[in-house]
Amino acid sequence: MTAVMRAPDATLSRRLIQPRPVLLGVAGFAVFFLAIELLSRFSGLSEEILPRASTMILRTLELPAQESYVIAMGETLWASLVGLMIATLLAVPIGVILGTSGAAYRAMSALIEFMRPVPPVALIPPVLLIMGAGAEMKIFLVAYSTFWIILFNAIYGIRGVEPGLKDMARVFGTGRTKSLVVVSLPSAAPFIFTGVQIAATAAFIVTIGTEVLAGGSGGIGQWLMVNLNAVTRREWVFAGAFGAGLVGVAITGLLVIIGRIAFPWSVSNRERAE
Amino acid sequence: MSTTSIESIDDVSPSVNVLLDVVGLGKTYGSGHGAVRALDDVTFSVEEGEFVCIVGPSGAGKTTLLRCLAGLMTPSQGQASIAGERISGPPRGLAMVFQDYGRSLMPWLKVVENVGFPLRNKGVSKAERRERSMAALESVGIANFAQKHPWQLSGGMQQRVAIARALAYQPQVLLMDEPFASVDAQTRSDLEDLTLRIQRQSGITTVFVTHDIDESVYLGDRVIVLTKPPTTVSQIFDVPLPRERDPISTKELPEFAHLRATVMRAIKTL
Amino acid sequence: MIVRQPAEDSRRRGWRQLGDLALRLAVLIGAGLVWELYARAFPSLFIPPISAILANAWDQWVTGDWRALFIAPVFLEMLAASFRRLVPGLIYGAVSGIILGVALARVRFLGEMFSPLIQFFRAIPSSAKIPMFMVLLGIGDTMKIWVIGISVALPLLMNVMDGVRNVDPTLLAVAKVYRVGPWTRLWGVILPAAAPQTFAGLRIATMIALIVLVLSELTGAADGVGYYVLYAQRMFYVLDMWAGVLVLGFIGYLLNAVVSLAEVRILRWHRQSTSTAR
Repeated sequence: MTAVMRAPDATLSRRLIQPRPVLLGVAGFAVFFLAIELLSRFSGLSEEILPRASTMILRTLELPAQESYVIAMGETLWASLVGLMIATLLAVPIGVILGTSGAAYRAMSALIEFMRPVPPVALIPPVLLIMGAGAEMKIFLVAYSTFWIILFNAIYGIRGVEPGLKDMARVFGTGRTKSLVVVSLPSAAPFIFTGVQIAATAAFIVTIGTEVLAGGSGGIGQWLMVNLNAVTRREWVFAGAFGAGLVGVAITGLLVIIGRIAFPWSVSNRERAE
Repeated sequence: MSTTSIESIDDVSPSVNVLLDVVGLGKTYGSGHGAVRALDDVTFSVEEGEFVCIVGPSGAGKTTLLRCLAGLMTPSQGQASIAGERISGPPRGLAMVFQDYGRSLMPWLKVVENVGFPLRNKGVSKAERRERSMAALESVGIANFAQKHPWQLSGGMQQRVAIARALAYQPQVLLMDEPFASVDAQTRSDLEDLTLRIQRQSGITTVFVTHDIDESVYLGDRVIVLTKPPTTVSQIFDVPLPRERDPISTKELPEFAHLRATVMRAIKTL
Repeated sequence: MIVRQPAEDSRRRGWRQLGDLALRLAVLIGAGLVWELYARAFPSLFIPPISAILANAWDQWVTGDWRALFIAPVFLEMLAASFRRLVPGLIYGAVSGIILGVALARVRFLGEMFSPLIQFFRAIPSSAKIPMFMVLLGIGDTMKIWVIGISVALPLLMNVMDGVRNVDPTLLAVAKVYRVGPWTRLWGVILPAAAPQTFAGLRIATMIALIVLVLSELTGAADGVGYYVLYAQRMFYVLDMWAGVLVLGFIGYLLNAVVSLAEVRILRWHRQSTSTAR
């Protein structure tokens, strides 16, 4: 029996390659921004149209020092957060009721199916007319558009509860209401939370979209448009959008962590544990 | 029942009797301290037209061995060859029936399309592909389910589809990886007889991996017993039973009982 | 062994579909009635009764000319302008999203290299991408098509990547053992296996496409449904504004229906195989 073991230096080099994905990811960014830099320098496009990548990155790093940007980001996040909270508080109970009752669900599904594809931004002009530009209008639009997303996930979360679990609860003499609280809600919660995660992304999009359109409502959207119209500050538009992207990544990451802590029994967490 | 279309391809020169040759095959997963030595040194050979069963305790690297033979895995040492040609990558003329029937059939294809799938873009005309697929389905007895989707069939039926797919491919060598491990006992017995009948009719060289000692003795011309990992070949038994077998009369032969006990003892004392 | 009796089943399904349709209609009419009653009970300049909105739309967009299918040219021009942006954007975005998704999932090196970059760009809200592309491409249709295309491609790409990565390894092993070529492996195994997730992505992507279209038409355009709504709002043509909103809703509904229909047809195996597995 000749069990040939690999040479130790081979294992060592394999260990060192571990940071490979990180390095490759950095390389991906480098390739992209290098291409932009080259395009900006040699394509003959003016810097007002395609600023240097180096400038964009520099401006992005300078964003925290831009008071107007920080304030605008605060306004955008505030409107998104409040709108999202209102939508969650309304959509979860309604969704749970609709998900539990077959008849109510059947009746409402038509309305939901009809309202869900309506682009929420289409309502910006009428809402602007009714409420005027300002934080309330943004909050209303965010709440409206995220309501359907969370509602949908809440209904399907409740309806998707493993029938075996509910049977088990009934066998042990758990009443209908109690079964809802101890069985249905916990098993639907991760799915509902996924809805909130999707809604958070949507909230960010809708808030900024509203701000882009309705001057006087503040926030990142308006900040971007102001810089767009100031010809000398064009590179700030890119920086501002990148900044919004970074904040978006942070929000997503935060929600993922919250999900892991709050719902350790969710399917994705169980898969991770395997 | 028509069997003309499932004849094996006979392009091996008649003087060479050994079709599948495994020499010193070894496979290590990972490296360093975490390395797992699944196969240590496996050597055996299979003659043309033979039905060889491979048994071993659970975790004996049976599947790893079969995947090396199928060219799905590169061995860390030693080699396997078919008709004198070293296996590196899936060899021509080799078919395989996987353990997990539910996952080895394409759910979006009908049964007949699944059977014909390996013949796509192989210079086989559409008409011939269909003909070969139907003949193969016929020979496993499920031609009337050709237009169904696999998930509309029971587990045993699905495994028949997988066998038909292998047959339509007209292979020289057929590898079967615990194919009946997850079907009920009656279906399993039916499928064993089906496999035997087809093997006898077509003469396809078959390597059948199982953890069921009864099954290995009942089906095999020879039974190869593997050790626990790091795996080597522990013993090889010739099966002294008549080639025509029957689930009742064969299994009551004293030779059957004796060999079954011997193989079991060989595994127990590993 | 065989799961269902097709003839009886399809007839019963037909009745149920009819019942569903009736229920749907009833609920929608009910919702319209609620709006109507609300608007009449609390008269407001900005929330007119839906009957008034519909009557106004009928007056403006429906003509007595049967040769134009009774539809006024203004309406067709408005729709055509929007679809001229939406359809190419959707198609470019969907095709490039699928191709890139497969490539990044199959070539590990590329996937590792560009996933973070793609994640980053996906995280930039599409509404913040519009000003960015206005700098690059001005406010014309090119900008709109690009923003729609990119907003469609990015989420779709992630879904396709996920779908391709999760193709059952057994199926890939089958394809390998039976020596099918790369073309068959792609079209016969990988793409069909990833189709459910691709469609899920496509569903999200079409919704985003419509949002981006409307936003871009609201920010800078001289025609299209979004512009029509904005113009009506600025001019205080409240009835026209609401009619435009209804048209946008209808387009959304239509797009969703098209994707659903394609999904039902292409993914019949998936729906049925997952429902019989239970």
